[in-house]
Amino acid sequence: MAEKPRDFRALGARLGKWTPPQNAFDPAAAWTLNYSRQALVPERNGAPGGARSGALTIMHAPGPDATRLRATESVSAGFSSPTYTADIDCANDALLTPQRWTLDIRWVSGPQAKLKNPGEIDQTRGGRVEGREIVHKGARDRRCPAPERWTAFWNLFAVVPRLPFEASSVLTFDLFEELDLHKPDQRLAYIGQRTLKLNGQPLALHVFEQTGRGMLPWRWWVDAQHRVILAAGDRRAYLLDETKRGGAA
Amino acid sequence: MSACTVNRRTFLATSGAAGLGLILTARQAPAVTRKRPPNLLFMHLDQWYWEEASAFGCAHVRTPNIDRLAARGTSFSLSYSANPVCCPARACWYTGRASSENGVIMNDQWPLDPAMPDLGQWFTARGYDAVYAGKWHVTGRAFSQSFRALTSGSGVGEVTDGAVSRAAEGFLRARTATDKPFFLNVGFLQPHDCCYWVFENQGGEPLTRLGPPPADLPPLPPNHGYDPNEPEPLRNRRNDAHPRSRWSAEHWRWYLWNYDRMVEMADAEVGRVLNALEDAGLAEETLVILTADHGDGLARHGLTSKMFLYDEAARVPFIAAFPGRVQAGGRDARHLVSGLDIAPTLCDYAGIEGLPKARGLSLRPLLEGRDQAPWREFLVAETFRTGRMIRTPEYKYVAYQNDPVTQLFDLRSDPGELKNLAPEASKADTVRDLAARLAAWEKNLDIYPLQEPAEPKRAGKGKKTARG
Repeated sequence: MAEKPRDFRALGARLGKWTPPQNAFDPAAAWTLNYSRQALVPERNGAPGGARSGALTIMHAPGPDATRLRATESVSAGFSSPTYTADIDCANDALLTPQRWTLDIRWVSGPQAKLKNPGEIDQTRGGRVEGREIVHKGARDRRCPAPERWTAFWNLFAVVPRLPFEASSVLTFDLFEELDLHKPDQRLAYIGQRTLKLNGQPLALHVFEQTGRGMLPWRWWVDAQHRVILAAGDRRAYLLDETKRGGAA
Repeated sequence: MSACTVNRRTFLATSGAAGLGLILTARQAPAVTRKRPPNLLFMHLDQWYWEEASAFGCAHVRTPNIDRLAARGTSFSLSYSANPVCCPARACWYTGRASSENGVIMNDQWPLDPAMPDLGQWFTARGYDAVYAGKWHVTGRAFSQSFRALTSGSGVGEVTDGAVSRAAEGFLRARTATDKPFFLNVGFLQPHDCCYWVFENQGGEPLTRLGPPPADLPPLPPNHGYDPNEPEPLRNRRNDAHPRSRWSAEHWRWYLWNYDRMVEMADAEVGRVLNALEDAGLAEETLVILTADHGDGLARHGLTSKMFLYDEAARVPFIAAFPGRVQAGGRDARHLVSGLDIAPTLCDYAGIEGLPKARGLSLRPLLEGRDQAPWREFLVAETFRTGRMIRTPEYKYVAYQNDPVTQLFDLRSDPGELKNLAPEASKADTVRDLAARLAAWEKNLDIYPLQEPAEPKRAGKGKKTARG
C-alpha cells in the first residue's frame, strides 16, 4: 500500500485533519462540491509544503436538454485577488461541452494595490458557440474555430465523475482554462485504483491522468462513488473541502 | 482636455518634462510625428530559454501566441540579460544601469540604490499611467513605490499567472479614449516553476509516474556535457551535493518535457493579454515588448537554473512589436542586444528623456529598419559581482575575479560553448583584446558602494569587492 503519492504528499500540512467524505454522491444528480485551492510547493529549507491559494465551488444541475454548471473560484493573488463566477450551459454530452456562458470577474484589493476605483479591473465576459465557432463576446467579438471535442477546465469536475473505472475510459479533447486559455491535445485516461494511507486510515481511490499541451499532467483522484476528491496538477490542486462537504444539492 | 487631442508638445509640458529638454540624436528621432504618445506594454516571462518558442525553431513547444507577436514584430536572437538572475536582471531593466551601479548584484540581499529612479517613477512623472501586474522582485523597492499596482501574484506561476493576465486584461479592456497613455508591465512567473521540479526531485530517486510516459520526451541537448576545467563558481555548481548530480538521462528528459509545458502555459497567458489589447482597439497604438529576465540551464552543460554566463542562462528571447512602426516578421541575428536597452527604448518611443546615466541603447533604429546605423561592437553581462562576460559577434570571453581560469568561446564554430579556447596560444591576442575591452568597460562604471549583508548563497566565494 502506497503511503502517500506525490499529489497528497505535496499538500503538506493541509492534509493534517482531512478525512474522506462519507455521504452519498450521485454524479448524475444535482450536486454541489467545495474544494480548497492549494499551491503544491514542495517542502524546502524546513518550510512546509502546500499552502491554500483560494477556493472552488462547482454546482452541477442536470436538465433534460442541457446541464448547467456554476463554477465559483477565488484565487489568492497577493495585492488583489479575483473571484471568478462562471455560469455555463453545457450540452449533455460526455464532455459537457459549453454552449453559452458568462464569466464574472470581481477583484478584492488590499492596501498595497493602487486601483483607480475598486472595480477598475472587474469584468463580465461571455461567450457562446455559433455553428463551428466559439465566440468570445467583448467590445469586439473574438471568433475562433471550435475544436471538434472540447470542454472547459471547470467542467472536468463534472465530466470525470461520469467516467467508468475501466481501461477503455479515455477522453481526447481540447481544453479551455477559464473558458479562454486554449490547451489543445488533451488525453484523459483511467490509470487504475490506488490504496493510500491517510492519517492512519486506508483510502482506496481511482485515478485518471490528463496530459496535453499547455499544462503539466493532472491527476484526478476519485472515490468509489465517482466524486472527485483531489485534482492535482504540477503546482496547483483542488482538494475536497472537509469543512464544506457537498453531495446532493 | 481629451487625450485624443493632446499632442506631443502639450503632453510633455503638462508632465513637467519640457523644461528638461529632449536628448534625442537624429538617429533616435521619431520617424513619425504622433499626436499622442504611444502606450507601452512590457511583458516578461521568468527563466525563459532564448530559443524556446515555435517561432524561434524549437520543435518541442507550441507557442501560437508568442509566435503571432513575433510575426507582428521583430525579434533579436543575440539578446542577453544584463545579469542572469531574477533581481539583478530586473533592476537593470528598470534603472537602465548595470548591477554594479544600481546595487542589486544578487537576489534578495543587496537592495537597489534608493536614490536611483526606476522606470515606473520616471514614466509616472512624465504623464504616463505606469501600472504593474505580477512578479516584480527588485530588491529594496516595493513596486507599489514605483507603479500603480494591480496585483502582485504569488511565487508560483501555475497558481497565479492566470490572475496576473486577468488583471492586465481587465485594465486593458477598461481603457477609455480619455485615459492617459499607459505603461503596463506584466510579470509572468512561468516557466520559473521548473525550479520547483528540481527541488521536488532533488533526491534523484527514480521517477514514478502513474501513466505511461509521453512519446515526445525531448532528447538531451548536444552540449549536455561540459569541460571539467571551468572557473570555480561553475565547478561549485556541480558538486556532488547538488540534486542534478544524481539525475539519470530520464530525469533530464523529463525536466525538459516539463519545462516545455511551462513555456506553453506562459504562452497562453501572453495570448490573453494580446487578445485584450487587440479587442480594446489598442494594438495599433501600443509598443509591445516581450522578453525574460534570464534563461535556464535546460540540461546544457549539465545545468539547470541561472546565475552563470553560458548562453543558456544569459541569453534571452526578445520580441518587440508596434504595427506600422516596427518591422513585422523580422528576426535580427546580427545585433547584440542587452537588457540594459529596455529603458532607453521605452523612453525613446515615449518621447521622453532617458533615465540618468542609462547604459543601454535605444533599439528603435534597429526595430524600424535603420539597421545600418552604428551599433555596439560588444556587450557585457555580469553575474554576482565577481563574474563578467564580454560578447562580440564572434566570441564570448568570461572572467571571474581572482579566478585563474578564464573562458573564451568562438560562438561561430562552437555555439554550444564546449571548447574553451582561452588557454590556446593562438588565441592569446583575442583574449588580451577582449580582456582589455572588458577592463575599459569596468573602468567606466559608476560603482555603487555595497554594504555586506549575510554571506550570499550559491554565488561563488562571495565577500569580494566589486570590480573596477
